[in-house]
Amino acid sequence: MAYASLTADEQKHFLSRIAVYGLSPDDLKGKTVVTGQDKPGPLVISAAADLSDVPVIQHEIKDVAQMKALGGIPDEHYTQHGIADHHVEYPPAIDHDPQHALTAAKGDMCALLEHLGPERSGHVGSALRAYLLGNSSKVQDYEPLINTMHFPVTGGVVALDSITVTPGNPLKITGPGPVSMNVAVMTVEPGAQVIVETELTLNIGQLYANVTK
Amino acid sequence: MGDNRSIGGVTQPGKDGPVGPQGGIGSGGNSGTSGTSGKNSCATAGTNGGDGQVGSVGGQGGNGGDGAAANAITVTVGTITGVLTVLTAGGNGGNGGAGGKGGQGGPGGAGASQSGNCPATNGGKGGPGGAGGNGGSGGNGGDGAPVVIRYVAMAPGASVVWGGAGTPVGSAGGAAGAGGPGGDGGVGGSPGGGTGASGAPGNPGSPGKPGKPSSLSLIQIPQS
Repeated sequence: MAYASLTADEQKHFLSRIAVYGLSPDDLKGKTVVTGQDKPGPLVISAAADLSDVPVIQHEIKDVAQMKALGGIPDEHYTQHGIADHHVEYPPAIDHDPQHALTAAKGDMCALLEHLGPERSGHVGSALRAYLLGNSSKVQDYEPLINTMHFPVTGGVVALDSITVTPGNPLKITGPGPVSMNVAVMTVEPGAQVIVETELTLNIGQLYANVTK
Repeated sequence: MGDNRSIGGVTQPGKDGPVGPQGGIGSGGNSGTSGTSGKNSCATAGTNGGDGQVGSVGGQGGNGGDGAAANAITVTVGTITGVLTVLTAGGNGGNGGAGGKGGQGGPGGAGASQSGNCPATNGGKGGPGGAGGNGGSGGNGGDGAPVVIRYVAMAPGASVVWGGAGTPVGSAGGAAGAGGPGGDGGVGGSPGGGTGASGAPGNPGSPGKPGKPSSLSLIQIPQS
């Protein structure tokens, strides 16, 4: 089992990540994938079970706070560990009352988009990314709009003991919906590709990139 | 080998805009009038048929669709070994649609027939074709998205390479439509009017705006 080859420190970090999905090492047993082995060409992982070549556990994510807990960057990175967040694009401070917009729309998404207009709607999308990847407190005012416009959403969770991506047989991670892929040991061989077409959270114990094991 | 990513995504390009509609046919020229014949000569000469009217300008091509934004990727890894190349970018904007073809020029008016001592008059010249429509604007490039890689350790010699595809640019607008042909000369006496000139081509559309670039952040997870 590839999981057993992780160091104690790697196991600790990996377990803490997969635990948020309710997964344990038992969920990895026997799940070894090599792209191109069963069929040539891309191996597809999707939150939609009928599109996925690998079994996925569907998981409904009710709001942005839950999604951040599942796959975002913890706020403590910025608030306690002194890591700069200049890479995060925060939208401008909200210049209207979001509750007023939500009340006026009466649950009609088209009405809400029309009320906000294209620029403010774009800011909500930026706020969603900033909430997940940056310090969420900086975009807290956007939270009601984010939740109304983007949630709930069905994501897919994949658990593997190991995966080897081989040249000519890419791993394609696609929508609809976000994907969380959890793998103890991942190898991307020279010339191989992981093609990402949806929001992705990837938790790995050991990553071998451009390496043939 | 243009694409050497280990991990990443280039999202879908925008759709091309549709070709603009063809312009309408111009109106026909007025018919010539017959002359008034005198006793031994033509007292008042007839007039030639009028030239046909210019065809309508072709319709503007549709704008290309915007490229899709790239997807955010978050990776948390214990140990990285080897060289990880990351590449993401938004999709390119679609091409603007070609401008519509200019409308055909109207037919020239018919010349008048011989009337007594007055000779037949010439048919009018066909109208010039309409100008081609302008091309549609190219779609805007999709925005890049941040990629965040958190890691505990890197093995000796390991690295993460940002092969960022940079800024996807919206494509240029479509080609302009050609002018329509001139109308036929009027039927009349000697000789009929000529064919009108072709219309001028329209202008190409403007290119779309580039999307925002992607970014890569490497964060080492602090050891507790």
